[in-house]
Amino acid sequence: MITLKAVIVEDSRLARNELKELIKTHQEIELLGEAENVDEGFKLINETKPDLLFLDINMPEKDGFELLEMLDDVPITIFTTAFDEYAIKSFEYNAFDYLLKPINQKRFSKSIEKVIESATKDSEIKISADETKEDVLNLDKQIFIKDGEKCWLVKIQDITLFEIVGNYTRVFFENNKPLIYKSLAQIEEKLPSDVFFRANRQQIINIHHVKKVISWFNGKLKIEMQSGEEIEISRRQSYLFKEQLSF
Amino acid sequence: MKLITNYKYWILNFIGWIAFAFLMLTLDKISYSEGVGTNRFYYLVTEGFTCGFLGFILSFIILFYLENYFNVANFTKKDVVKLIAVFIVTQVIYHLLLWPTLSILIHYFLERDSSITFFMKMTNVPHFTTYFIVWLFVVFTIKIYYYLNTIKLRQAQLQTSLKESQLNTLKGQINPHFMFNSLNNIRGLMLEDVDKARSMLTSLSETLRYSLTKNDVSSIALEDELEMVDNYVEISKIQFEDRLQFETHIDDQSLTKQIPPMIIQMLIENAIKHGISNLKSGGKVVLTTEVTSEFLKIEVKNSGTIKTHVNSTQLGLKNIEQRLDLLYSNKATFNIKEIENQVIATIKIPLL
Repeated sequence: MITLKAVIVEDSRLARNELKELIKTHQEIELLGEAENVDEGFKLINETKPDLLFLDINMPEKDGFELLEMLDDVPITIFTTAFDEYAIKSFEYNAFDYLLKPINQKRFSKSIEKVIESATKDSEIKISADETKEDVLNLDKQIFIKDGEKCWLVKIQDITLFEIVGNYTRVFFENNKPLIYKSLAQIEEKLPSDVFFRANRQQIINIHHVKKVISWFNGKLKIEMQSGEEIEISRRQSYLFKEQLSF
Repeated sequence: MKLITNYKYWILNFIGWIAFAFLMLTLDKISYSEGVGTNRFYYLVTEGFTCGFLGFILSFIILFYLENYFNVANFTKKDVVKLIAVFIVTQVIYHLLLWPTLSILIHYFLERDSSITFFMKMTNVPHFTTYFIVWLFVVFTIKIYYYLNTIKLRQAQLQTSLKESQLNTLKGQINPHFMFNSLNNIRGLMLEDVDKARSMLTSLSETLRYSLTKNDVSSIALEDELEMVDNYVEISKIQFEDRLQFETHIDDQSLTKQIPPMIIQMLIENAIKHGISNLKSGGKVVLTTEVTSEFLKIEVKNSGTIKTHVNSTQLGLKNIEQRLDLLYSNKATFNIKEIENQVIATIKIPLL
């Protein structure tokens, strides 16, 4: 049987008690800790690296979404909210689950079952993931992106391209291209360098998503991505690129 | 409003036609003919009466058309053409009736045949047409006057019903977020303090009942509202625990003053939602009421800062503002300001 390591981030003590009461009925969940605001939660998650996060949306100073944006690796997240049409709407786009307070026991169990199901699927990859270095993101890890009303949970390996837009960065994956409020240099530090390649000053590409490499003039290379974007690699980086990919 | 069935119109219309004919025709003729004989005088009077009376009778043809087939508020070019046609037909009938009648009168009073030539008759057409045009203008003016009145009335009715529906939507309602959070907290509280949980359930019921029943009332004693506020704060305290402190300074005179229901509750809710709940270490909410010679002053102070970029803040405050505006026009005031990390919201309601 799988054990899910979980944490709770919720500002109301009684609501935490309520949740703990529900968790008690599921022996497969091991509660590692609880936090009453985003900053404490951030610390707790980085220390304990849980599989599962129960997250309230409305909290003092920073809300639940902001916590997810701060995290480099987002655990499986179940939002708990009393009534928030806006938040619930934004979940409909993707894999997040949410529970409405007061939480129905059956509904809770169903959510946990779903989590276990997906955790079992991922468990093999997870083992190999643990072997890699701490500060670099593994391809299997997922990040949280929120742009306006929409939010996504994206696996690093699914990202095709990062591109500078002013002080921000545009992230390309599937058919979405939201903005994140981090600089390209900040992002580059965290990316595994064997997969993500700095093509030029503006762009970082995922070499797993490259479709075609074309010799351009002046010793430069041009790359066609599977998604159709064309990227020109600067001269210095073209040299590196050839070196990195040659036998 | 139909003129054709209105006896006042009949009388005034009759007087109008006769007076107009006398003024335009008879008086003129009498004053110009030197040495009017008795017979000629009678003839001229009868002639004026006949011209006016015929006009009076025939004007009903046009009026009938106007009131049954013509809408002053909304007419087409075709309607106007038809009106002109009816008008011309009336003119023809008028002249066909007028001249033979006058011949008879001349024969009767002056004991001679009419010496009016066809050419003279034709030159008289514009003269009599003017009578009808003047009449038409008067009738039109009356019609438009009535029409404007109905519009004014309708507009006033519309405005009252609009005001009512606006007030209904603006009326304070228990925020569902608060409702469900409270229920969840009470559920959690049951695990550790059943008695407190029971009393919280009562408070929550009372809050809910207040918001449901007081919604149709336009004003309520401040005392009653305070009870609601106490309940609300009690319930909020189980969510925020020691993060929320609440203090009141109530002027005894203010207790019986009438206020719109849920208005203090909305200020408190706003103070908790945007002040206390955003502070990790919590804060204090202070409610003060004061009665002056002219105003009832309600003030809610909370720790925190005004965040203008949060849309929801504006919505709640706008709601309060609009409600006061609808109920007291410009006589009530509402403002919110930030002084030394405290947000102060003040409402002044005129004492009636």
